[in-house]
Amino acid sequence: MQSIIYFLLPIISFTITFLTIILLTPFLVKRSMVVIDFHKKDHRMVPKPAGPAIFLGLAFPMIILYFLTSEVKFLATFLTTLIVFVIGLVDDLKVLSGSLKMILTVLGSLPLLIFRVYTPSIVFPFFGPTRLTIVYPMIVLLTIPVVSNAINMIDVYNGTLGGACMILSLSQFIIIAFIFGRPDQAVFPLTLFMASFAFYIFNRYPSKIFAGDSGSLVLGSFFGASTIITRTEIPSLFAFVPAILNGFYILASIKGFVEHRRIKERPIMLNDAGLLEVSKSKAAPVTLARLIVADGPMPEWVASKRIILLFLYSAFLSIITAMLMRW
Amino acid sequence: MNNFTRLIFLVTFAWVTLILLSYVIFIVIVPFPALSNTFFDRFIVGVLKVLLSAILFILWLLSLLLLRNYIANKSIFK
Repeated sequence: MQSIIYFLLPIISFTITFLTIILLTPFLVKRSMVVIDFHKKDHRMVPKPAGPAIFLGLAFPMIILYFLTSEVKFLATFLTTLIVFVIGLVDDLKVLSGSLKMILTVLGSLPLLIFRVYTPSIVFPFFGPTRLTIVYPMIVLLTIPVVSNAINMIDVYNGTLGGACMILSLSQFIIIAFIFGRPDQAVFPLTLFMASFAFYIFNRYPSKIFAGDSGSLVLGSFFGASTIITRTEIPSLFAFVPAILNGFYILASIKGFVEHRRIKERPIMLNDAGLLEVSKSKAAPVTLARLIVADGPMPEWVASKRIILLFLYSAFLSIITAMLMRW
Repeated sequence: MNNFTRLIFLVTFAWVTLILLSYVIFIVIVPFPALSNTFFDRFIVGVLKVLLSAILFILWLLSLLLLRNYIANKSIFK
């Protein structure tokens, strides 16, 4: 019975996210909650945020599982995503500064710490587990803000956010279910995969809806919580390398946590043919998105595909790492 | 060589070095015992562990930054 529920809930997650986006899109358009898609020649308006739909799709299975099993890990995950969703929604409606957003998302780590849903040890390839009684809670405290903000920064082209989250969750699912042999924990990455997939259908090129900060932060916080609860810290870290590189390059270029709307010079421009082209200006941030487009003018879908391919390669490396952990 | 291939190499470099960095920090530095059981010794060793880990992490980030600048100079700013 439990395995049927574990299999059904991710499907329900997909259905909720999918249907809510369909209902949310005309609502957002009616209330003029739309933004310009700068990477399109016609500068079309796209509704934003899809965060409420993504949050409902992720939160509903967690609440159901908590009431069915009384296991606090589901309640802690729900509370983490709820806190981060509220912060993201406030940012979508009022625009918070980059540093304040980073500080506030630390609150998302608190349910994981309060309910002690973590195991204070990390398993390393070849060496096995290392006990980190004092250090591990600090790692938990940093995981949610770092992961959710790094995922937020990867939302640069149509489809990159949904595609990246699908690959991250799929690699985590393969590792948990097939390499570590813990299928009971696979409900976390599977739920994330299904919600990301439903969002990706609308967010892929050309986007019908944008996630907004509420959507991207929620996806990141769920991935972070899932990593801690399922004890896949090391392989998930390696799957996450492109997001780390992207986030670090943005921070290093603009020297601090600056809200993306405040970046003065855009690293990517649109040429007369409607293709993406890198800015030659030294003042524009040297981001991963800019390095991707540096091969020459290219359509947005090609740039998006290249970022997703980079995540796919990292996911492959993370699976190899997980196999080394079993060795 | 196109930039995408360079980025694949960059991700591979980050993967290998991050494995090594995590080994050094969590298997060598963090479990390193204090010289004696006095509060002062434990405190000093704790501070040194944090400092050493932070220095290694910053060095890792700097290496990624150097590689980014190399790739940018070969493509965007050439």
